[in-house]
Amino acid sequence: MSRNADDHTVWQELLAGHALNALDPAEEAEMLAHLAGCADCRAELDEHALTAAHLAALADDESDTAPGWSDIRGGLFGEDAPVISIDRGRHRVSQRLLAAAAGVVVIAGAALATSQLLVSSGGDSHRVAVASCGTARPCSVIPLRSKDGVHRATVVVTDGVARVQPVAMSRAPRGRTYVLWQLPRGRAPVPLTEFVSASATSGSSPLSVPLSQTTAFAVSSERADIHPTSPTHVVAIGSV
Amino acid sequence: MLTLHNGDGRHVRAEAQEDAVLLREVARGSEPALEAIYNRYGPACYRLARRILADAHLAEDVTQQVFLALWKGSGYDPRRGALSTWLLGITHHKAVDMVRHEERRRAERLGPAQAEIAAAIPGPDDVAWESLRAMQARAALRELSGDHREVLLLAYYGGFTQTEIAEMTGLPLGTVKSRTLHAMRRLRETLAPSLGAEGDETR
Ligand SMILES: [Zn+2]
Repeated sequence: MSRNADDHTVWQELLAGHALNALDPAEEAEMLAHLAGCADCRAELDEHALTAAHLAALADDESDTAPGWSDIRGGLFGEDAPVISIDRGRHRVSQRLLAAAAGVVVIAGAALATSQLLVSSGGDSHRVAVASCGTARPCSVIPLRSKDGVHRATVVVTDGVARVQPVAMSRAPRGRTYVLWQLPRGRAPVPLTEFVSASATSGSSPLSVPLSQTTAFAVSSERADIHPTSPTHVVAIGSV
Repeated sequence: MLTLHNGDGRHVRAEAQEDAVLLREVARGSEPALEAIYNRYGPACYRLARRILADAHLAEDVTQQVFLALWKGSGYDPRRGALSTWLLGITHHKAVDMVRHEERRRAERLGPAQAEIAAAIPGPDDVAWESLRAMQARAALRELSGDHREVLLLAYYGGFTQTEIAEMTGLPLGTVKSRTLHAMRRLRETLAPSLGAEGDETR
């Protein structure tokens, strides 16, 4: 081991190379030996791993078709492995497991709801939004959902104007505000309007580009004193 | 769809909980659970491998190796991060290992600049979240200076070692190393608001 233990920067540099799998074999071995005894480097490695995963996501071209499970499983279990049990099992077993996991989430959510005053409740607000659409003019309703699939807000677009109706969102904490974003196809997100609760102040704004050139709308939570150039804490998103 | 978040337990979300359930079943030998995990994360792993290897067949081999590792009792530790992060990490590792044995394919691989540009705008529907995160990563990458971006992308997408990068760019090896560290840290800082924080306010 030739590294000077007093200068940890050397290890941090090696660690970044290690996280990218870019070290030469000798350095890699040195790094692995150091990692075994250095909690700081292990913690930073976890951070690097997450950052690297974002680079992976950046390269992820969804239009590039990936092999299905049936293509992959042959290499794992042998081409002759009977498939019949999977197909039969999948819906029963996996769905039941996932439902069980989802149940845990619902319970956790219910506990939170009692301490968080929801400014409006699900279906009603959405129906109001839909009703406000009217029938005379062209009108689009886009539900925005959080990552766990909960319907948080509804965006209504009429005559090129977007209006956001919170459905299940707590009031923005002090010093923060919600921002409605339009995500134009192939271009940077555009902030449309800000709002803090489901009150009459729920914002509306003309679209930055026509709906037909829009990928999605999103609501993010932002610091009230800063005008961000892209969404930071995304609360909900819905594709057009 | 892909979820990336810190595994610190404060923002345990539905997907992480489902992953935990599925992993437990995989450990018990449930192939349907492995299939469910594959359906979630396998395509992203495959596409990362394919980006690095520029070869569909090799990318499929790598993807098989990754899920075989998971099947055989992987060493994944949920305290250290999300399953998606771990899977992409070993995918990258295996793909880079393979590309170094496939030197002749290097010329066919995408250059780093193309790799950055080629991050396509995803389609509609449930890829909307994904597209948003990709936008954030892309914006964060743009925040880096060209010098920093270059060493990062050559290493990550190119699969080149730092020694090779030094030779290619004519930079001293020490400069490549320090730039890589700075690039990773800067990228993390720029991404920080979105890492593990999505949807905080809804909980
Ligand atoms: Zn260390």
